[in-house]
Amino acid sequence: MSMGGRSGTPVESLLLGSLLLILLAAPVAADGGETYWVIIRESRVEPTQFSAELNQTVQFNNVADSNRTIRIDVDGDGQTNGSADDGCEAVADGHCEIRLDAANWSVGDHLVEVVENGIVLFELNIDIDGHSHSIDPADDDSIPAGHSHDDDHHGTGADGEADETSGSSDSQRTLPSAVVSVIVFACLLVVARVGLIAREQ
Amino acid sequence: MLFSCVESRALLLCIIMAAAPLAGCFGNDDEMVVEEEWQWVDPVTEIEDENHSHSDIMQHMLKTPNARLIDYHNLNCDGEVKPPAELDNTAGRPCEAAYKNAAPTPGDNSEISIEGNFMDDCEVYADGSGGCYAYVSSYNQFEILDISKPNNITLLSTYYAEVARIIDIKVTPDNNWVLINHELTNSELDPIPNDDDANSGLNRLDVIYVGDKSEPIKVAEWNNPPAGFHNQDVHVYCDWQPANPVWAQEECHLFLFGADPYPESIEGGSGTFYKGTQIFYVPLGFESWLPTQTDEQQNQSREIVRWGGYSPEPETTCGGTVFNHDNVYFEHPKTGQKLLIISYWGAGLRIVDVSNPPDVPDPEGFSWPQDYEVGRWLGCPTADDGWYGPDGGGHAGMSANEWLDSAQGNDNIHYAVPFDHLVCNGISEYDPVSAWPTTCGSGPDDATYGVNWRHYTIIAPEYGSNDNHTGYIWTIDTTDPAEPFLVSKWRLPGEGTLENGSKHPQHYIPGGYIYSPHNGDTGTDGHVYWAHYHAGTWLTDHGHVWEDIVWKDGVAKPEEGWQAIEELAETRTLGYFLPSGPYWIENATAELEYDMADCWASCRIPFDWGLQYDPRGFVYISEMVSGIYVVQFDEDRDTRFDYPPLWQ
Repeated sequence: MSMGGRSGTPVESLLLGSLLLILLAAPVAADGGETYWVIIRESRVEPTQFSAELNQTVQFNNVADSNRTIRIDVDGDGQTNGSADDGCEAVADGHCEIRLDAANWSVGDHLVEVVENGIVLFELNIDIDGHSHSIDPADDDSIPAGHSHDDDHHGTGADGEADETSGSSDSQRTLPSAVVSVIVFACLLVVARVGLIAREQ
Repeated sequence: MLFSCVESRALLLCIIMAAAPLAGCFGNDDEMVVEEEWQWVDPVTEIEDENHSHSDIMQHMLKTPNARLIDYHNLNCDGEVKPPAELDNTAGRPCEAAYKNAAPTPGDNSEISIEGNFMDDCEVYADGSGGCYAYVSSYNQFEILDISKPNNITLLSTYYAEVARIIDIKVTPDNNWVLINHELTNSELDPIPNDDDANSGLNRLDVIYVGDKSEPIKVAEWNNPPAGFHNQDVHVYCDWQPANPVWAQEECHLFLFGADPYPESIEGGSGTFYKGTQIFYVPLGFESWLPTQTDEQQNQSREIVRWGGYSPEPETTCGGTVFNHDNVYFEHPKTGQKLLIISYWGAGLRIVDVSNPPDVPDPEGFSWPQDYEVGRWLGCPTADDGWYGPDGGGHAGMSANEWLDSAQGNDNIHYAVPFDHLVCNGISEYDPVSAWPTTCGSGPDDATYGVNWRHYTIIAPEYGSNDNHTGYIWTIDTTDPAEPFLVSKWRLPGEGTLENGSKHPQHYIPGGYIYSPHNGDTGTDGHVYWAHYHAGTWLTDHGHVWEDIVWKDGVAKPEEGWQAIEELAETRTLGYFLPSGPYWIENATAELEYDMADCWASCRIPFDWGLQYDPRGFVYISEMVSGIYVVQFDEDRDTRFDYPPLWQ
């Protein structure tokens, strides 16, 4: 049903539809199922050392009977009380989360302190390895270049799983794939529109 | 000498193949190779250089001499690789036998499932029931093959769907209903990979009626935002009585078990968080799906009811990445429990009892089956005391850091599969009693020797890359599913080679999942078959694990589990097979048009995704690029089911 305006061309419709699909779907694939759990028990924390990627989320699960405060050295200066540092409160039998936002976090070791009543109970270390947590298959440099779309599912694995291997690495990526795609599609829309106008003229 | 060595089980594999440079020379007739010429060839080569190319199929024409190719199908249906437009996304199309290995290869294959009356040699009975079939998911389509005769498998039909990605497929035991997934995992690329018209449905479960194997028809679909299920399983309960009187009239009831890798996402903006393992009931399931019904009748019944959910409790883990990769339904041969064997990545193996679905649905899984986890296995202690505590037998004494270290071959539990039956020192109840060794007594109930009848569950990780390891295949004793414990572990044998040419203690995964374990299956007598992507398919023997365990005091103490074990048992390597096209076609890559450039997961043959074991003694391997291979290992030969290769 027409709403009075000129409807888009099939090309535009296809592009817009595809763009919509990307916008709707991208965050799902990027975030899902890849939260890293830290378990805070009465007398220990697990693990005490782990690697993570920028833009991953770390969930602190406090399974103890008392509330715990999480203090994190975000700026990498070895202290957890700086203005740039972060933290969260994990109530007894609850959890809190910290997102390793690439805008704030730096590559390297970051100290985490688990505190109760002002006393540091446990320390652990997060090693951020410099790879942005991305599903973009272009991150996998083991895939030969020049393949078409079907080739490139290795960003989340042949089986669609995140590559969680410590010490393994693909390539760096700074822009979320969806953002790149949006830009590309926006350009394509402009091109399509300009072409249409040119033909109408 | 060779076979005596195998029989004595003295080493990994006494075997093998011609040296790699000679490998291509025997391709047309492996029987021609003189036994004395065989020597062990490690089929895993990490480094590509002037001597090795992962994409050179001839360099991967490798197998152990106890493996032989029985048949092969490249899954071309009718000369085309896609259906005519009128069949798009609604129905399958029948195939013609003449196109078997005679037309372009569609490719992009993933999981394979088989069902049938195998021990009756797939006889089709007077009422039309019977027969044996394989179902292969292939990204945009799935195929149905008649595998009644393993040496002459036939493609019956192909079902094409506009939307990807179909990576798992299950079928009901009666071979009438297929359940497939459409999973979104890569939004830029997956929506419509091989089609040109817009569509939705990236996150669906579809049910396809396959009563007529030549005309599969979709009868129901359900969305599961945001990403769909990664894997699913299905079971028909015939001993469950729902409270709803309408439903209670049904003789049997269908339940679905979905593995949702994105459980923390909010479905439909409802604010409800569902768990990783999601269970659904299909009211009036089978009758409601009959394609002969009217649309109105079908629409009334095309529903599923969210009935339960499960995720590991945080305190039962050691941290790490925790998500549901896979659910495998089975009935424990000793306890009779209906169990889900669940792979939960960093949270390891989970065993959940789903014997008794509640009368009232528990969609968020507050108690069902959340409260029915009966066992688990991780390498680290996951409790303060008891079986999973530091002094308990239900772990391997690892710290959390060690368990979550994939560089040591740990973590990332991706697939788990139980044996269907109990195993005793190399035999099972499939074997005639006359073949049972004395140590097996009169069977599992024997007062003295019953303890030697064991149940095992095999679990394995998956890594996209791993610069130190390919990962362990863990053998977990699940004879008592409430007290599982580690008894053996195995990795791909051999040393790795680094870029600088130096040796590495074990193989590793430079990238692209190339040598990672993937999916597997259990056979009889303790045999296990596992697909390792580019490393092909491996056969290992777990049947002698129990007798090979070195116990601390020389006395078996399963009640103490891992703590009582001085030395884990050896998992014996029996052989491998690398799919590499049909031996009888000189240049299969060209003749069958293998898609070595525009392929989904890899362009490296072999790239084995999954496999299934036919209890008549055959393995069906789904290779991602080239198709389905039927392989038999000498150890599995059964004279009752003699199907020699016809291509020789």
